[in-house]
Amino acid sequence: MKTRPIIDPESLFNLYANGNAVGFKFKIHQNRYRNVPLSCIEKIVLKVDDVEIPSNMIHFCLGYKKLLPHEVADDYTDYWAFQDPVTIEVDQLGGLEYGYAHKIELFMLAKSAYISSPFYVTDVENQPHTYPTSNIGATDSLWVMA
Amino acid sequence: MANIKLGLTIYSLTKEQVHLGWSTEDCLKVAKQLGVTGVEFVASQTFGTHYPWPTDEELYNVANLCAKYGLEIASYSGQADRGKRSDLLDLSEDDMLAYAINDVKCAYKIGAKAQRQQNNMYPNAFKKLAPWAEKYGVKVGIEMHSPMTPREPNSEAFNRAIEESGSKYIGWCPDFGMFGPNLMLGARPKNMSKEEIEAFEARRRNMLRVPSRAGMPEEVCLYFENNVGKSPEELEAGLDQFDLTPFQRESIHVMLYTPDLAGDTRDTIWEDFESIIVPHTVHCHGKFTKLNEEGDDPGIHTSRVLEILNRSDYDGYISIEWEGRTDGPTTQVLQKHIDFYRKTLGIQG
Repeated sequence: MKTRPIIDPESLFNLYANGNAVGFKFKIHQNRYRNVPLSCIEKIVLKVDDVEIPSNMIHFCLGYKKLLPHEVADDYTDYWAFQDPVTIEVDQLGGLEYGYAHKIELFMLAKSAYISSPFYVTDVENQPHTYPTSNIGATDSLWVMA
Repeated sequence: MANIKLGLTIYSLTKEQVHLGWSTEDCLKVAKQLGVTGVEFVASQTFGTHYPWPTDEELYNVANLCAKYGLEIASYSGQADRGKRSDLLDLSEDDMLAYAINDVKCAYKIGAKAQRQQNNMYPNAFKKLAPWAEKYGVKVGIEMHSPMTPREPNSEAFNRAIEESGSKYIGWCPDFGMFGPNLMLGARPKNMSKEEIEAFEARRRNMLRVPSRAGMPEEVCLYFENNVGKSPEELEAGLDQFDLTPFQRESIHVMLYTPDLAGDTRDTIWEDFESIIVPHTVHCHGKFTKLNEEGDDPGIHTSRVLEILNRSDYDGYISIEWEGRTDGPTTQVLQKHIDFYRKTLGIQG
């Protein structure tokens, strides 16, 4: 069966102001079986063409919410369903060069809040739990659509 | 005399929902075609945009869809997201109780008879949930999910909570995956038949494949996938090629070597299930990941589970739960397993 890509392959667009490219954006999905509380996304790292984007230039946009990566980690009242796309917007003067494919590496470390670990040992009430994490991001090459 | 009804957890159609964009209604149509009388929703999936706080409109829309297809709502399954805050190690017992009450409330609004809760719940909060479950008329079961067993300390803490509550409204939701060979994690037992080895390894791979279960990178899951049949020693030696955290290494080590995760309980798991779990069972998950010719999961021995349930007083649903992998239509494996249940139980619905 065809699987849905994490990074929408036809979603990379430059952002313009006054005729100047001032950034870019692309659309992503999460493919877990359930929603992800935003606070479970502990870390977001984005590299484009092997260059890391400063964290304060990255915006995680879900519905009407626009959040910096550390604000995502602090947001425990919003949830990311697999049905709902997220747009990653990046402030970057000059945007991305049109007519080329760009390598997008998105690392999103997400915690599974409902699975305690180690899950195989005696679980004593009130014993602090730890939770496993995994990368729910992806790496792909995308052409700038406009 | 048991009164067992067959349901389908919509979770079985996760692949179709995530990758093919199936709507809840698409899934309900399949449930209807499969001939089950009820459905279960993993609330964080069906109501993912807002769970744990789905709107009344979202709940009523789904309830109306179920009514349209003549399907009962067997369970509204909650998620015990005890670790969801980044600024705290764990949610408090009080907060977990608040979320659990809310799940009961949502189950009531949607018209569910039962509600699955997860074992990340505090046993004491679970006990406090009993009067709420009674008032709302929703039975809540802690999911006994592999690698849990009936006699391990965590299970005993929940058992005490259930007993002390004196309520019929809190209990257990056994997931039949708990009966997988050697609980799917420890070293492979000796003298297994070829079919049993395959089933065992399939379940172990499944355990490792679910990245959220142990935070395993996909390449590690594939490594296990591609090295079926190797000994735990050989498998562990090959792990050096991966950049794993100490926790991941530790988890794999335990998966590979712990011969019995719950002490001596494996030998008595069937008896313990019947004497400890079944009397307090409010809902069941008919987990399967592989089928033999007869339509049973050879690793679980579903017919033995059903034999025990059938001679009990259990009155409720078994939600058929597919958690395996198939390139073909999921509906075919579901139909085969449901037919097996019908034949084994001698029921139509």
